[in-house]
Amino acid sequence: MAWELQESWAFPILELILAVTIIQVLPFFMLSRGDADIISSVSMPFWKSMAFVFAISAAVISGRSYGESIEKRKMVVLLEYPVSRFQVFISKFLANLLSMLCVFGSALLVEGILAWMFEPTVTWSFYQVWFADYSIAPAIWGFMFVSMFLVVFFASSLMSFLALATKRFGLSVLIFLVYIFGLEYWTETLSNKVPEAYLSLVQGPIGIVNYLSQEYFRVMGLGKANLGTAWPLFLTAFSYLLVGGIVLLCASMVLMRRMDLD
Amino acid sequence: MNGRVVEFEGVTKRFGRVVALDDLSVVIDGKVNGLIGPNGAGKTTFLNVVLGLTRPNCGRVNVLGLDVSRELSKVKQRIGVLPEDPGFPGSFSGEQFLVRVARLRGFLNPHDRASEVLGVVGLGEAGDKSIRTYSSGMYQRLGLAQAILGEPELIILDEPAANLDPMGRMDVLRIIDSYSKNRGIRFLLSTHILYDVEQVCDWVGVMHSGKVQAFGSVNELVSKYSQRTFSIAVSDLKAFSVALSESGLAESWDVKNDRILASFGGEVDVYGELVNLAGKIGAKIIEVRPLWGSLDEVFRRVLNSD
Repeated sequence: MAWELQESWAFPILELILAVTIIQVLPFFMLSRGDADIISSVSMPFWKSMAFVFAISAAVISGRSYGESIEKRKMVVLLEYPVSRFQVFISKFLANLLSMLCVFGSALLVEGILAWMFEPTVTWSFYQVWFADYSIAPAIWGFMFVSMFLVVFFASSLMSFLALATKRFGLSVLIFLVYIFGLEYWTETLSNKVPEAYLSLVQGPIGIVNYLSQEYFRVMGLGKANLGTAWPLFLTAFSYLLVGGIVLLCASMVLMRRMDLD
Repeated sequence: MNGRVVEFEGVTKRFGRVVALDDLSVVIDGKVNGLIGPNGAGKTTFLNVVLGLTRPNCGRVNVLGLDVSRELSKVKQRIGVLPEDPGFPGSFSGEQFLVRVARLRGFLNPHDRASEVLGVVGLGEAGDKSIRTYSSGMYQRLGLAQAILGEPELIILDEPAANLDPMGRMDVLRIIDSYSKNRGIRFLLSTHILYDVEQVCDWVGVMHSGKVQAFGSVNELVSKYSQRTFSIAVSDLKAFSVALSESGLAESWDVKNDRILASFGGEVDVYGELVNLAGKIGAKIIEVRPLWGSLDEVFRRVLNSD
């Protein structure tokens, strides 16, 4: 895993963090600060701006780790040492996941610092969280992180499977992007409500944050957050774990049981 | 160290309609073993099956007495490999890479071991440079370093002299020879350079169409497949030439520098027949010296006979 992490950080991670930050400060805030629903006003703009950055980053990092590794015969070299295919698979996956969480976590940190340093009227994704009511801001921050983790896990699993199944970096990224943008188009045009938006990178995380917030409000006795029906929201959150897990299992089976490396 | 290096029993590997290994059965048991064959003969697939990178459709593969399908991790602990066109992590320095490999192989002092093998392959001064700055020759030396690093019982080299200049090639042959003789490490190498095989290998297999068409020591193959030409010194050259011609023993013959150069078919007992022939004309055989053919000739004949 240390090997994989060193390889991952050779990737232009700093440039990626800067790109993420720039994208975040672009003024396409969807809702204003005056919205009554603080949770939606936080999560919606963040995911509107960040979903595709996550998708593309997951595609590039995971695709590079598996697809390019096979194409450039790095995988062959690794598998000649006394390590099993499963060890190689899981090390790569965890290293990718960790790298992505570091990148996006860094972006959040950068955004927070900028929000603190500059005029608070600037409409940044996390502005509301930063200045939100002290009692709920940390919780919403945590929910955002959980939803980010679930999306990154799902995207990384899916991309790992595609890269291993096709053995090609470029092709797997293409299929991934067609899937992601196709799904977003479908959920945007045909339905933008849960549960139809399962596995959507924009709609799904909003559902997760809403579900967790709703539960938080209920447990903490803060009143009822009118964010939707609990069960479909739960399903939205759970679908990332379930489908991501199944896809990850399939990816590991492809490498361990079926793949010939030549 | 004795015993079988690699044993294939009825191994078949297909890629779609292409049969890369065709019901292959062979035992490799030399100290330095060479696989030669044209492109597409199945050499790399053979090595990939040995390494567990490719799974055969049927058949059994043993490496150092271990079943590859069931004991692959044990096999990997006992072998070192230089694959064809390997992909080493370009962001690492040569030494960093070898330290990681040494850790994977369980060395307690990975830095010491990495420095040691860098010196062996002549990369001592380039160890701290990024791998992506290496020339193709340095890259190949690094590949050799990571193959020998684990002090394995068997080292598998796929095209070890590829991209190397003549000095580099000689170094590789020297390392193979030294590790084989001094440390008892056995080698299995696949190459197109027949000269290298002749220099270091004591077992050679000629692969073609997914099968090992011929195998044995270089001398055995040469004596079996190349034309058997002998240089004959005899007391009465003229009379012996006439007798040889009339007897029909030789497929062809010529006189050069007071010697007869004659080629015989594989079924002829050359020494016995020549002595008989000399006895019949009252001449005396002074010397019969075989002029061995080369592995190139064996290679051509094996391929043409298929």
